[in-house]
Amino acid sequence: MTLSPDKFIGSQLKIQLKDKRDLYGVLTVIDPFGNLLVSNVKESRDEDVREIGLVSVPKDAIDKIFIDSRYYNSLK
Amino acid sequence: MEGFIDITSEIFDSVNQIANNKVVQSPLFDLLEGARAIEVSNKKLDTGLIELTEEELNFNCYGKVNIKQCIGILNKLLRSLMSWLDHSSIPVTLLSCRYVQEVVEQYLKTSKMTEFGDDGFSRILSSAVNGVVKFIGIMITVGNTVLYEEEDITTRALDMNFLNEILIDEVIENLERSIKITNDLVSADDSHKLILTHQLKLILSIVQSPILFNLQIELFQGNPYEFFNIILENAIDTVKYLNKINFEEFEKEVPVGCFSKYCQKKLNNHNIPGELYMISQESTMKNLEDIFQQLKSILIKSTSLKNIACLENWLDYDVQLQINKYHVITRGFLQLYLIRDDQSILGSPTFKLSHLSLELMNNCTLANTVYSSRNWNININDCKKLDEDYNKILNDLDIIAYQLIIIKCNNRCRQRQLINKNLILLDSLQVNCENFEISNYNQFKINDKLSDTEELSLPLTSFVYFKKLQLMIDFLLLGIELELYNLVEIYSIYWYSNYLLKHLLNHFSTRIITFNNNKLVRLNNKRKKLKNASQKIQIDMKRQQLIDVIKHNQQQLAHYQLLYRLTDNVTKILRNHHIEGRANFSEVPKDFLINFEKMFRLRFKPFESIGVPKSLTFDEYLISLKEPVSLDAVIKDLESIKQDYKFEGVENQNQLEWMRSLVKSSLMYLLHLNSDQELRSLTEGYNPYFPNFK
Repeated sequence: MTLSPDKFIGSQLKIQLKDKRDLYGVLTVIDPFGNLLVSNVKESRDEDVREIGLVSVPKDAIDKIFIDSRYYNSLK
Repeated sequence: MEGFIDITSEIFDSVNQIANNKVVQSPLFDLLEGARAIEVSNKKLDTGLIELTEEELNFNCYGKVNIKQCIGILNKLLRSLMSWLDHSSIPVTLLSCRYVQEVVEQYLKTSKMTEFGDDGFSRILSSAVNGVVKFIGIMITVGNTVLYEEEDITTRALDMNFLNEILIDEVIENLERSIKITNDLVSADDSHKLILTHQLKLILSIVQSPILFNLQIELFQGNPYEFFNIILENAIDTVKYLNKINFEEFEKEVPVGCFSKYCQKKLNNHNIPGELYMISQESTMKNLEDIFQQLKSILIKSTSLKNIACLENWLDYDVQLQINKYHVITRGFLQLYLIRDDQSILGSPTFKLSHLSLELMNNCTLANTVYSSRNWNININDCKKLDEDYNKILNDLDIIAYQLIIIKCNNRCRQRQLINKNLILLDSLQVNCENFEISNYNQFKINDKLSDTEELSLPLTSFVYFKKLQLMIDFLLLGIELELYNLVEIYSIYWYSNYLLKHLLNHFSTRIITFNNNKLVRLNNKRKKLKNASQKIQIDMKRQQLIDVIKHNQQQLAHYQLLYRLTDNVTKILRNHHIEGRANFSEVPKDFLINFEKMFRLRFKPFESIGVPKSLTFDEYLISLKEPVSLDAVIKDLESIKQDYKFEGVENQNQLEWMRSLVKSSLMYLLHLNSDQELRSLTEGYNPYFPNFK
């Protein structure tokens, strides 16, 4: 059964972008089109990691979204 | 991806459950905050997508540089510094320099200044960059302490530390050593050495400039602080020298990739991408010269103040009214220079905030009164209680004195906001002072007579009321300078200002001046009866103090009389326009969403809670609009203003210019009276409070 979107709010996510960057942050808002607003984001590319704060991630830019498996299990 | 599971499709499927197109959000999150979010994958908003060239990516700060490159880099660095403080931010100016970025990044790792190499030019470059970085750190601290972020100064420091813990002496030593190294260079062209030496000296002067707010000025003693004056004069000469140099050929030598958007892409960055910003060479040199000239002027004027009246005039005419003409560096330094953490004024070991507030009161109403001498002449227990109560009042007055200084040092826009905040404070203090003084009279007959009548002088209340009226008038007229009002409101602003000025003049002439003159007469009479020479000397000192106070009173009176006459005539001119249909001050234009009465009440809301003078109502406003106007009387009065004000004895140049601009405004309105066209707009006049009507 699919979880409701509010279950994911507040989760620490790893978002792989299509341009090969990874974003780590807390899911704060999700809209009906799958666009995300993520806070406290760290952007990682190759070896470089930096903080970029509050980020809006359009669905089209997303390749994959990951979540910590233990945390995921606690959501169910 | 150990420990992580892919939930891509699950998240995207889950949104199908969202009804009514609503967003699902954290209860802790304010959606308005979302407006600040950076959108990834959008070139205009995502610094991660900034494209850098190979040279920019691989720029090496530790490569050797020659003298021409060194000069070029330092020139661009100075331009970047002035560009940052020209309403820009650090990432698009100073941090765009890879040497600056390297220094701050290395500092986070090592807590030391960075050396770009062992050879002469690398050491010279290192000391200069470290010097500039140290100054950035100082300005960020100044900004956090006394300026407004995104208004006076925009930092966006990308989480970097600009050598905050490095002692300034260490930076200065390095720069001085570099100047010596440059002079001793044998391999370089003499003309290039001279330019580089001047650049280093300029950076040294910039780093030394915060000395200003560490100087300890003995007020009214005429200590000129020659050593700092010499630093500033040398700095001005250095800027003048550098201003003659054509730096284009040197900037062409700057290594490719030295200035770029690299920091925006690589460092912690919560901002959107910004184009690099650099003001012209001419503006850079002009701004630098202005800063040193302004600091010099502040130093010279503040150290040559003769008495409290000069200090008041300097604060009013050189600080408060001129503040927007000062560079942001000067503005920041000025506030830190004026009042220090230990509440000393100009760092004086003997003149603290409490002395300032007492002197301000002495210079208005308090001199030679029972409250200035504190000679209560009552029994010990009552005396103790009275002292306690009086100290409480004085503490409140210290707060007011502090606020008055802070108001003057802020930009003109903030001045108005701070005035608004302090009006209530002054109003309640006025009530407290009045209760205190009346109760002292009722209980202990403590009082100085206002004049020959039995009326109480109430010197404390009188001072606070005067300051309150001053601020109320400033509050209204400052709005004209800041172009806050709609054309339809202009009449109401002058009409209300005129009402307040009438109260102020009345208070001034019937109380303050009457009281001070009466005190002088009493002293003169007392002196006549004395035979002892030393007692006569004491009386003479008090007389001189009162004579100085009365002279200051007269100057203030002249200023407010002039403002009164101008606001009176402007009110009548505008009313005449209204009556003759060339303007409408009773209705807002049709496209306004608010009606005029609401707009009026909103505009004068800050005065609604003020007890005295009573606030004017909208009905009174409408009645005033119908009062007939005699233009002949207006013309006659405007014509006579020039003859009536000669400003003899006014020593402060900015005060003189301010007063003259008011007189010129009267002539400007005379010319305006010849025009019978519709009132369309306000344009710049001679005085910011009195624009021209077009």
